[in-house]
Amino acid sequence: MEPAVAIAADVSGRSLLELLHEPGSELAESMRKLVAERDNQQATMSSFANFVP
Amino acid sequence: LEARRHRLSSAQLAEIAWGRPSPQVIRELYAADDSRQRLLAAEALRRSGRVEPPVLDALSVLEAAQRRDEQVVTRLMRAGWLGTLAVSLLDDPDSAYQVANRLGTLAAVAALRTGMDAWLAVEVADGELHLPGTGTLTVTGAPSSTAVLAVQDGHLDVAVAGHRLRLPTAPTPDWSPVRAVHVDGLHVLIDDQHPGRDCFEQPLAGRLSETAFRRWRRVITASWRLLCEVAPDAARQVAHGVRVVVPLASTSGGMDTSVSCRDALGAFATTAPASPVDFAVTMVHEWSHSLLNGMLGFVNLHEPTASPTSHSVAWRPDLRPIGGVIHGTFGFLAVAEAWRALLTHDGAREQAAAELARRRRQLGEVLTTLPAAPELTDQGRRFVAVLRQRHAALTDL
Repeated sequence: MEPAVAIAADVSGRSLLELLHEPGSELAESMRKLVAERDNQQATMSSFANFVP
Repeated sequence: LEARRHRLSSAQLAEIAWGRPSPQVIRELYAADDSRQRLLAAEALRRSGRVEPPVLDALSVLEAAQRRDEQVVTRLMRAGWLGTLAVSLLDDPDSAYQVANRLGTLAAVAALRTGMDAWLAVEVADGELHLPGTGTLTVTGAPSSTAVLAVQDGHLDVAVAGHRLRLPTAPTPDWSPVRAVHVDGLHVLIDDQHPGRDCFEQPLAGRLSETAFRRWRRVITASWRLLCEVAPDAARQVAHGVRVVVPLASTSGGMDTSVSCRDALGAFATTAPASPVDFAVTMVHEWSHSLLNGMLGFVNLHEPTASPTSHSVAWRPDLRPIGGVIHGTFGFLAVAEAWRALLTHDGAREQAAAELARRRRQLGEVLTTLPAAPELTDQGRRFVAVLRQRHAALTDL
C-alpha cells in the first residue's frame, strides 16, 4: 500500500481550548475534513457473531 | 504555519492489512485518533455556538492539567469518551449543556490526577454524578442539582444536595468506583457507568452486580490466558489496543452480540461473555474493527456510491454498503485466524474446526466478488488483495 497521511492534523500537545480558538488555518480545514469523513462513514459496525448459522 | 501530520509508511499499512500491527503502529493509530477526537470536539463546540463560562472554566483547567502531564490527560479524555462527546454534540448542538458537565467532571479528575488545585461546578442529571475513570456518586433525593467539585492537596471533594464525598475513597452505598480487569499484561476497564458509552446502538446493561462483575472478570481472565497460549501475537495486539469493554443487555433470543464504534478506538461492547473460548475470539474480532477504524483515519479504501447497500455477504441476510463489507471481511479474517489457532487447544478443537470451516467458506464467497467492487480506490484494491492472501493462507494445521 502507498504511504498515507492522517486526515487529522497532529495536535498532540495542544489543548482543546487552544484548538477552539484556532483561527482559519490548516487545522480548520482538517476539522472540516474530519466532519465530512465521519458523515460518510457508518458510525457503528455491528458484529453479530451468530447472525447466520 | 503548516500543520504537523500523522503518517503511516507502506510497511506500517501492510502490517495492518495483514492483521499484525506492531506496538509502534498501534501507538501511531492512537496518536492520530487522539488528534481526531480533539479536533472534532473543538469543531463541535465551535459549531454549537454555546461555549459558555462553565465550558471555558473546564477547558482552562484541562489545559493547565495537560501542561503538567499530557499523557495522563490524554488517557483520561479517552476514559471520558471524548470522541462520542464530540460526535453527539455535532449531531445535536442542543446537547451543549451536557457537554459542560462532561467537560467539568473530566477537568476535575484531570486536576486530581495531575496534582493541581481546581474548583468547578457541574449539574447532576438523573440523580447520578459520574467522574470519568473514577466512579459514580448516586445523589438520592435530588435528581437535579448543582455539584461543587473542589480539588486541593490531592483530594477531590464533592458537595451536592447534602452529600459530601472525599476522593479517593473506598466504595460506599452511594459511591461506585469504576472496575477494571488486570491480568498478566491485559488492562481493561469494564465500563458500566459512563453516559458516553452509549454509542453502540445496542441496549446497554445496567450497573453490574458484584457477583456479575466477578463472573466477567473470571471469564475474561481465562480467555486472556487462552489467547496468550494459542495466539500470542493476537494477544499482544489486544494488550496494546483494547482498553474498555462495555456490557450490553442480554438479547431477547439469548444471542451473543458484540459491537465496535468508530468514535471509540479500543473500546467494544458485548453481551455477557459466554465462555473463555468465545470471549477470546470476541476480543480478537472487535479489536480488528478498531484496528481498521484507526487505519481509516489515514486511508480511504472506497469512494461513496449512489447505491450504498448493494453488496451481499455470507454472514448477514441483508445487503451491505462497501464499507460494511470491508469491515466484515477484515473482522472475520481475524476471527477465522483465531479459530485456526484454537485448533491446537484440546477443549476447543471441534468447535474451532467447525467455525474455521464456516468462516473460511463465507470469506471465500465474499472475496470472490469484493476485488471487483467498482467503489474500491487504488488503496482499497491493494488492501483487498492482502485480504485475499490471508484467506488463501487459512489452511488447516
